[in-house]
Amino acid sequence: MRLAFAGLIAATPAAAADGHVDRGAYLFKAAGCAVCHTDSEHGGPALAGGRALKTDYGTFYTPNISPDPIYGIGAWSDADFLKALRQGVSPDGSDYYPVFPYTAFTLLSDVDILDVKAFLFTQAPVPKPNRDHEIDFPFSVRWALIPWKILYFREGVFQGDPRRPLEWNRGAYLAKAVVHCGECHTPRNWLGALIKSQRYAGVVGGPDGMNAPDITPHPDALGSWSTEDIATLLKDGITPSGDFVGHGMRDVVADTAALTDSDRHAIAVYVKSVPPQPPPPKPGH
Amino acid sequence: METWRWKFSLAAATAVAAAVALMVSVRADDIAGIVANRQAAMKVLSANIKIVSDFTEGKTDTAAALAAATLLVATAKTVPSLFPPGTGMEALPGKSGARPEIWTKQAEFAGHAETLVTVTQTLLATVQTGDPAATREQLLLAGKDGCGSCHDAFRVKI
Repeated sequence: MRLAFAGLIAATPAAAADGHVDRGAYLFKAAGCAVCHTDSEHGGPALAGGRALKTDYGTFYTPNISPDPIYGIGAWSDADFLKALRQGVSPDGSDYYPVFPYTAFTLLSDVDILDVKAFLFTQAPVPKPNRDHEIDFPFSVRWALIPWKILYFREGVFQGDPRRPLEWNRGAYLAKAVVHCGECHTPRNWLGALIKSQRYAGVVGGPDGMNAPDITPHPDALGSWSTEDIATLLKDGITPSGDFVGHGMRDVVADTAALTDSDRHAIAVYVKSVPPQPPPPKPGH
Repeated sequence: METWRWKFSLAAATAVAAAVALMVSVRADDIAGIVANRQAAMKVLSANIKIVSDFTEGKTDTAAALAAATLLVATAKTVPSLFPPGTGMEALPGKSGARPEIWTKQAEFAGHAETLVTVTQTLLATVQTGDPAATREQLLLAGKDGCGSCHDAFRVKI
């Protein structure tokens, strides 16, 4: 029963269910993988990595995830790919920095992870070497990630809540495991771990200096928004007051626009259901 | 269906109030007033975008959308005048999100302002065809090229 339920939640829409590659393409887009793994700002080739992500801990350069066997992930087995997304561990056994949101992707089903791999392996290989991260001490010490993972990382596939409607569960799966909204919208503690009790409460001065607003149903946040308002924002990037979303979210909307209406609606149902949180104080006020 | 009339009146009144207040504040050389009026003008833009958006979703009629799109063009044309030097975020921290680059990269900024006029004019022309789907497409394009590109380069969120 539990398994059947989980299977329904992770069911990618029929429109995209022509095969594993198509399902993978749908999830890949929804998860926004290309946004980070392509250095669009400098015209870098698709999926070849190299985009700089400036954080409080230093600058990370995203790796090449094209199927190039030497510089990309072309030589990875299914087990390697599963381990990377489920456990945050590379094929050579080193831990990934959680700037790669495996803390979210660990929730994905095996089928979904392998469908993404199937799609990735249909893309053009790019022989472009990875650039080393420029991280400040002590975060530059990779083994420091071991206690971090013990403290903050919970490995395991998304477990739905059978007391909630199926649509809520599908929305929670998409928001948490796939679209990973919380990576930008949930505040972090001083060690960069998401504070789950403040889910979606908003972040001032997040990665690349961007602000991510409070998206909880608090009166000072999205309290007055309907489910349709949220779904419309995810489709068109337009708010109920006629504003358009800013740069970080525009990249996200370019991808959530490709979701089906029912998946966008499911995400909106879930976002409407999280506990209200007051927005963070704004600097200069 | 008379709702468009009061919507039009409301939007027009806001625009006129903003324009009048702007003239007063410029004369008074009041930075806070200039910033407040600039933000009021941006609100005029978003409020009328909302009306056009409602039209594309069948929530209001063509007449209302025409009035709103006309106001969008008119307001877009005032944008360059809303940014006198010395009225950015450094002059009024926490209140203004206008980046100093507006005045150091004037040609680029002026280019964005011209784009806003062009995209709102195209939007008006599309509304005149009465086609909600085409209007939606143009509206989103206006949001990206007209609003978004300038905000990305020249605005910080406050």
